[in-house]
Amino acid sequence: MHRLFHFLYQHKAFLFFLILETICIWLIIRNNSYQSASYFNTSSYVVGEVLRTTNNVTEYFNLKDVNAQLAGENARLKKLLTKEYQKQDFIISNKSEFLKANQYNFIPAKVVNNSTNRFTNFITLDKGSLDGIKPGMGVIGQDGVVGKVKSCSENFSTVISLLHEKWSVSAKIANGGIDGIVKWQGTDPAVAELQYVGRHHHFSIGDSVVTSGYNTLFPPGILIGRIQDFKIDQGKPFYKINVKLATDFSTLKYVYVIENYLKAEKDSLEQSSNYSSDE
Amino acid sequence: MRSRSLIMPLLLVILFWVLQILIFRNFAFFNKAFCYIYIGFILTLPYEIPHMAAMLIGLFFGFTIDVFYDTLGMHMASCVFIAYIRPYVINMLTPRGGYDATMELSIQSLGFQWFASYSAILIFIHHTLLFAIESWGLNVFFLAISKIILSTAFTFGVFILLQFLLFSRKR
Repeated sequence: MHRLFHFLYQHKAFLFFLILETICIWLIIRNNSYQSASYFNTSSYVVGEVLRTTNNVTEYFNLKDVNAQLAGENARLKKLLTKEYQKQDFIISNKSEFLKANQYNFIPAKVVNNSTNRFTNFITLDKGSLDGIKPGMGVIGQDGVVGKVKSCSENFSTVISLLHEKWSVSAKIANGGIDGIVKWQGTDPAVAELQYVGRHHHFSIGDSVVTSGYNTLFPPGILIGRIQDFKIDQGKPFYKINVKLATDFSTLKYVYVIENYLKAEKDSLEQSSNYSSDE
Repeated sequence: MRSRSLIMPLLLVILFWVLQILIFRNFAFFNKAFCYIYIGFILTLPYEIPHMAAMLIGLFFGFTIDVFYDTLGMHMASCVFIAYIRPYVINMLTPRGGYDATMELSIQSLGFQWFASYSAILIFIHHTLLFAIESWGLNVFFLAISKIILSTAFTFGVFILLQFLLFSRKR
């Protein structure tokens, strides 16, 4: 027994090292696991405040670009609105249709922290649970899909960017309604891969890839990107399609968090029928 | 002398932390070269500091960096590791005359060559570990390798420059 203690004492630094590394590895695994509640990240109060202050200083340098972006989006929305007014015969006949027409709410938020060049990228927003944001909501930018809320505090939220190798989004090629899954490959922040498109389908370069609407994160038809190139290897069942992402993640300044009023209903129905939509 | 030995590390912590979080967090050359200058604080810890205390400092310092990178655990693990192997690297690099009792880990007291090899070894190990953990299970081996090499060069350059800026005026 005495020898054992002596041994432990002699190697106390090494044992201490092992204990600390075990703690770290446990934290890494816990933090990586899918949508775990995690308290120590950029949505915590102190960290969020520091990031917001930094952002307040740096945002003046790109005000011009942001103005141009917002003006562009205003113009686009105005066009959509006019189109909507012109639909004279837009009659809502029952309650279910009314609910579906007003299914989505968009919460605008400012990006206070963003990364694009790591293997796992996250975005921090300056809105949190007080503004109605909950973990699991989808996030879009003015050009297309951005990501999904991972965790939020009262005033900040952390978003898993589309540029995260563990996350993927259910998608389809708009022209022809071909289903697939868009997943980032960890290399180029402007390009992702559209997977599981069978070899019997036909499409062409430049076709737009949009959200499918099979999951409750995004409304159907939100642009993800456009097909850049594709190839198919001999004997492989699926195409290898590269998608040029519509969102420029490096200049992302303002985003919209999507609140889906019917999410709980759809999810619980699918769960009770023992079927889960892919994400 | 006594007060300086307490205030100086505190100032260094703040300096390295501010440099890392507010400035170098936003830099990435060619999307590959990152600067993790904050480990300079662990590299410049005094030699006499107890081994376990150094590891604890590494753990907490890594934690404060991790919360800003949303990578809880990764920087902690790498920092603890270099804090653990630091004494062994120092012993390995023992110069001919041995070390003085009250030695300071700086270019002035140990020479450029010693200091450069010391920091290059530890920075390389830290970055290797960090990018290995980050790209775990991902099929990006060559990208990770290029990131490790470019980032090591970047951090090393900034660290040596900082050493000359901070500690050269003493003599």
